[in-house]
Amino acid sequence: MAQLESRAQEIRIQGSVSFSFDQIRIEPGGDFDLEAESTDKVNLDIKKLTKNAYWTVMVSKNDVNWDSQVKIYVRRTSSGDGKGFANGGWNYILINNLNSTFLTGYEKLNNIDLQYKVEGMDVSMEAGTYYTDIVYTLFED
Amino acid sequence: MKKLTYPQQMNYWKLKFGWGISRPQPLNIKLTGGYSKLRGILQINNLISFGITITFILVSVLKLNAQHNWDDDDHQLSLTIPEMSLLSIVPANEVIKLEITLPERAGDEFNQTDGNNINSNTWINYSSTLKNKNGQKKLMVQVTSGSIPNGMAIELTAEETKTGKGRCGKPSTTIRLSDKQQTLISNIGGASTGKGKNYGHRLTYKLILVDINKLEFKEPDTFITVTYTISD
Repeated sequence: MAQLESRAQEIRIQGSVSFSFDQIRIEPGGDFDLEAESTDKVNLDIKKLTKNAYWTVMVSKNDVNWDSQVKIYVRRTSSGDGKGFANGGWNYILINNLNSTFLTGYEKLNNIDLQYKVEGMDVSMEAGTYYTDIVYTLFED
Repeated sequence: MKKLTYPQQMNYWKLKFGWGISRPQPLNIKLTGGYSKLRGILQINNLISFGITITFILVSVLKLNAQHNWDDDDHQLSLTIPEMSLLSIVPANEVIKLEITLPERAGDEFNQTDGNNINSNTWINYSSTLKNKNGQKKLMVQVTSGSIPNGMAIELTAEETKTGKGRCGKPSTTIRLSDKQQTLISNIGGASTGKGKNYGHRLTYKLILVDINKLEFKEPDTFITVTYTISD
């Protein structure tokens, strides 16, 4: 059992993302920027696939105390390293609470860099920190 | 952050395995005549049972691996909204001049209708966020330096804002400025009025003669500073 499981496909995410707004940059009467892009480094690896495997990566979010008026988008900014390849994901896609397809590809691939965008923030939101978990699910086709 | 769960596969496993071991149950019902015959049936049935159980274990293991074609991982994403109270008077550094014209002839009244005693050229802009959405802030005003000449008063009115987002505040009725803090705008929630002239609340200052008998002309010009504060 253990041996069989160790060969199973695997997806790994490294890094986390924080958005914060510096009030010094806001002029009186002004509001937060409508959208913001992440600068934190986050990347994903796809490994331990069976030989010549095609795969699909789905993305969703699992809210902790997220404000539903703020939308989150993700895109990839690199092709990744390895003998495999990925298709799609270059344009921002909206992350919902249900799975949606982010990437498809073939064989193992490492260090696919991800970038996030949030939009919809405004002063009517309660001050504080909002959290959500971004979940990536790898399916071997 | 790594989580591996196989809820569906485990259910499948339990069902199949449970069915396998329940197979020898009919042996408990003693319907056969001889002991040796019963023992023979027992052994055969036990063998069948064992075989079936092993088969189902293998099927289950294969099934478990066949269904395990996915994996997931996650990471946290956070967004921090700061609590803030920001305000400005626009145009910045505007000096407001109010005057009441002296009567030209003895017995005439002071002219308070030529418009020189009124100024409506400034606006107040603010941005505010709250830790509690139902909370509120207020905007206070007071004279912090200089003093209004005896016998005169300065009235201040803030108009409702025609611009902005969120819960902008509600202006008080006209107040008379003094060295004591007074509420000019209340019930400010998470809000932004917009930036610049013609955004936010328009302010109107009006110099009025209250009691001519108390007027003292020490100096022709008096300077006062009016300070606005936004707070919880």
